[in-house]
Amino acid sequence: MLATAAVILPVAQRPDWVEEWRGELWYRWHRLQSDGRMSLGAQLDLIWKSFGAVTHALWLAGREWRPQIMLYDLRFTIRNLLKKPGFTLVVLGSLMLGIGANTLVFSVVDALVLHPFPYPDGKSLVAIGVTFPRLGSEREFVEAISAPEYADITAQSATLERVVAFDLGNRDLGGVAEPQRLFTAFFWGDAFQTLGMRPALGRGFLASEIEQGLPVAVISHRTWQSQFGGDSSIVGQGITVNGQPLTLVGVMPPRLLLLDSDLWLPMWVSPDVLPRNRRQFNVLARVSEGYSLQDVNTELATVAGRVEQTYVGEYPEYEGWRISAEEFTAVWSGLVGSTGFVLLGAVGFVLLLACANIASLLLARWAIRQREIAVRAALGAARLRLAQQLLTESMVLALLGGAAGLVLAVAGTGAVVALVPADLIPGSAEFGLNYRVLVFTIVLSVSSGLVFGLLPALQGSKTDLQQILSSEGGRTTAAGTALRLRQAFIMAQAAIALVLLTGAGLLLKSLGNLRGIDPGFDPANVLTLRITLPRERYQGEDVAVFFDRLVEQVGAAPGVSGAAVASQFPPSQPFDGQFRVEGQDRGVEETLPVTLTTIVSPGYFDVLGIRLMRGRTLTKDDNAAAPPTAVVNQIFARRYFPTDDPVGKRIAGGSQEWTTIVGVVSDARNRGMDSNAMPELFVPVAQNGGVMNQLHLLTRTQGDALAMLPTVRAVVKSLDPDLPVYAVHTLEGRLASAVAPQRIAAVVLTVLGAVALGLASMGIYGVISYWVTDRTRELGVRLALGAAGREIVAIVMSQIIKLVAVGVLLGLAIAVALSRTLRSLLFNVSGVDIVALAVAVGVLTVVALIAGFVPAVRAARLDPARALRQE
Amino acid sequence: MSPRNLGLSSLTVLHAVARGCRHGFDIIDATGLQSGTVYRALSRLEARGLLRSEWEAARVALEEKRPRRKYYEVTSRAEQELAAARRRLLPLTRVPSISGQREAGHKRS
Repeated sequence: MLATAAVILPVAQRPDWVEEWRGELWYRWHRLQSDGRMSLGAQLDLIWKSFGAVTHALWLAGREWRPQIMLYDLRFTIRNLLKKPGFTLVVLGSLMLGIGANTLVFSVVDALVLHPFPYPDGKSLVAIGVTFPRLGSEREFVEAISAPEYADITAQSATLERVVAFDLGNRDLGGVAEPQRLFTAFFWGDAFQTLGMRPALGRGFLASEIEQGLPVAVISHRTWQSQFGGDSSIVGQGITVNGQPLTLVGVMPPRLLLLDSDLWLPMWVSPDVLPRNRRQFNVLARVSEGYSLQDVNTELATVAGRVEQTYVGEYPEYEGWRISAEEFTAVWSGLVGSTGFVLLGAVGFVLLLACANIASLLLARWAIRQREIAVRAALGAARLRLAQQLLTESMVLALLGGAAGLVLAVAGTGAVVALVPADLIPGSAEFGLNYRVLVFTIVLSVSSGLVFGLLPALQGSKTDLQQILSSEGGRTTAAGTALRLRQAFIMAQAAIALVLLTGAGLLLKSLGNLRGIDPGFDPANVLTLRITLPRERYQGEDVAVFFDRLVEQVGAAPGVSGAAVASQFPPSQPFDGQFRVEGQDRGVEETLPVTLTTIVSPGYFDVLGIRLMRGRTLTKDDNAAAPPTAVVNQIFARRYFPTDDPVGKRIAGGSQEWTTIVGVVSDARNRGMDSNAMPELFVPVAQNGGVMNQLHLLTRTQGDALAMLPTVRAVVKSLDPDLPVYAVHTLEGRLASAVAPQRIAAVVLTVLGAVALGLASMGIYGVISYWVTDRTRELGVRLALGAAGREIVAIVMSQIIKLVAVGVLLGLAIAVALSRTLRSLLFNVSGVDIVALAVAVGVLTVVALIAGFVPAVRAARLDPARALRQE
Repeated sequence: MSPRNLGLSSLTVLHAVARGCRHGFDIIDATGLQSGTVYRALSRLEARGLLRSEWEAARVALEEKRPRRKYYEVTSRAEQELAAARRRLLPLTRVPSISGQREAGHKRS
């Protein structure tokens, strides 16, 4: 042990130090023996005392480590790096790309997934979700809880505090230049308290204001800026919301607080008057001091049990229901989260690859500098001292590369954020440099410096003086070890490149599958936007009349080939409802079948390119005066009328009125591109106008859809100047954003796979070139004995195949092990896909052989005479 | 450099050597400090010229068939400094105790 610890000491101090400790320990040991006092305790005590030698040695070594020496090392390093600008640039360039890419992905993941919200102590902020097995529901967090259930949770859980419930909706802000439609949250409770935020101005709601539903309001910082010019005297003044005068009591802080809501209002109804099965509220709370999330969930399980016992007779859906809490951030990052982590992992692999390349370069460089190092060692430099100097070089490179990478990342953030569709970015997300990103970059730089510097430093400082100084530039065992290490790096690089290529292959195949799906409608050239008619001004028939006129006028505009309104449209449709089929009484309400229910104007099917399969579509004659009619899709017909013709059958939905099915249309993907179509029921606006005052206008255009926006706006304005137009999209855009996480992952992983291939081939080229130089003599002998150039190439190539084969096996194992992480992003592709794996292996092998071809040909063209003379 | 700038452990070790503990492990026993601490203190004191070390005669070690041991001695400068330190410290120990009662009790036992 003493000999090992001595390594860290400067050579000059070693013998003295070892002898002193040995002398004392030996003396003590023999004294104990001769005095007959040797016992287990005494032995252990002695062993314990001997550990002091290590701290002593460390202290002595540390005393040598003076700042001057570090400065000296630094100067030495910089001179060395400047002397070899090519090497320095290659290393710095790869580090800049490697660290920059990591920092970039991290800063985006940080902004979108890790810290998308500004709440302090985010870990204790939870969302409450419920599951109703009787209704076959998944765990729902959004609009999932009824008012009495909220009251139960508040009253019965000690592990939660500041429980707040809210509902979401839209309200018109009036009395300003351009009427605004604001995303609004209605509260029971003070959300500022729960979120742990202070208003920028004024205050949150008081308990009395919530209880009495007083006409007060809080607006977002951005609304305050854009609509009131940031005038702080507005607090305490009146504002107009949906035509009602309200008192503005506060302004939210600059970052958006809750699901991008711009207006907060107290709920104007008391929770106890609402029915138990009207589940439309969201519940947030803080975990009380001293409890864990698990404590909360245990307690919520008892609360659910109690509610079940009391109410299961009246509400059968309570059978087996569950309440559970989850970290708010986790609930709201979802799929973006898994994409982000997959990319972070992938980009980390790329950095590892770059590090392997740099380590390989350093090893080669230090093999050349062996003599210099050996001379220094011979002059008394301790191994630690030499390693320290070599590590200084790595660290300087790593930190410079990291700094360049940080600049690259800050500059590139905008481009990456642009890849993410806007509706996946919470308004509260803040991109750019923060201390977390900075710490990440520094830690990453230092650890890459260690990763690529440590092995070469240890290897480089291990010097067999005699051998190196006496061998006249020939082969040494140290150089051999360096080559073996570099070969190991090649294997690792091949493995990593294979993992990335496989991942890219899987995602591309999955994206191809998603793209290849027939959505069941024609997404090209369709403009979509949303219009909400204020209940104050539009009631009953007015709604249908307005939308009828809107569709007529937009449809007649030049450049428009068709227009329609609908309560929802593919590919993502949230609204469904239960219904009864005439003659098929299924008893209890909760067990009735469910169908997506969409309110449409007659032109809907034409605008979307949905085909009529049987019967007829809706017409203008299906109006309020006519008997209720509906159209269903094919899956609806197949599922609920498997043997009969649905046309002419009657069903009853929410309105409880018997409605006649008049036609069947083709299926469109209405629950996302990666799910099959759900049963869907289409009912005419004219017969259901009073139900929905909020519809989407779908306009099929002859040219670019967005170019028609001004025309459409003008029509809306001519019908009602106070009506805001919002949620403007193109149907193609909606389709693209439905597959955005998959697309981003595929694009980025493909780029990373290509970068990995490039890095790996650089590594292979370097090592094989070195190998050829190293074996020049041997190859020369072979050539002299009559080997053909072809055979020499084959020898070199077999070397590459050997290295890559090991890497491929390793990579396959890793790829299979990691396949699980990709699963959530894959569609119709299994995590272990033979085709993707085979393609990846093929591409990697071909690239590796190409990379090795140049040195192989050089080996074949050797002049045997010169090769043999070479020392 | 005077003992004034030394830490408590270094002072303790210096004191132990001055009282006649000459070998590293004897000092460890005498002071009750950890071995690493004692050796760091020894190296530090030697570097400051307050201690000097010698190897015992090779003959002695050879007779006992063991490696040589190193022993430490205080330098004359250290003796002066220690005496000065003692002069400075002694008055401090006469500072009246806050609880005279308990001190009296101590003396009886």
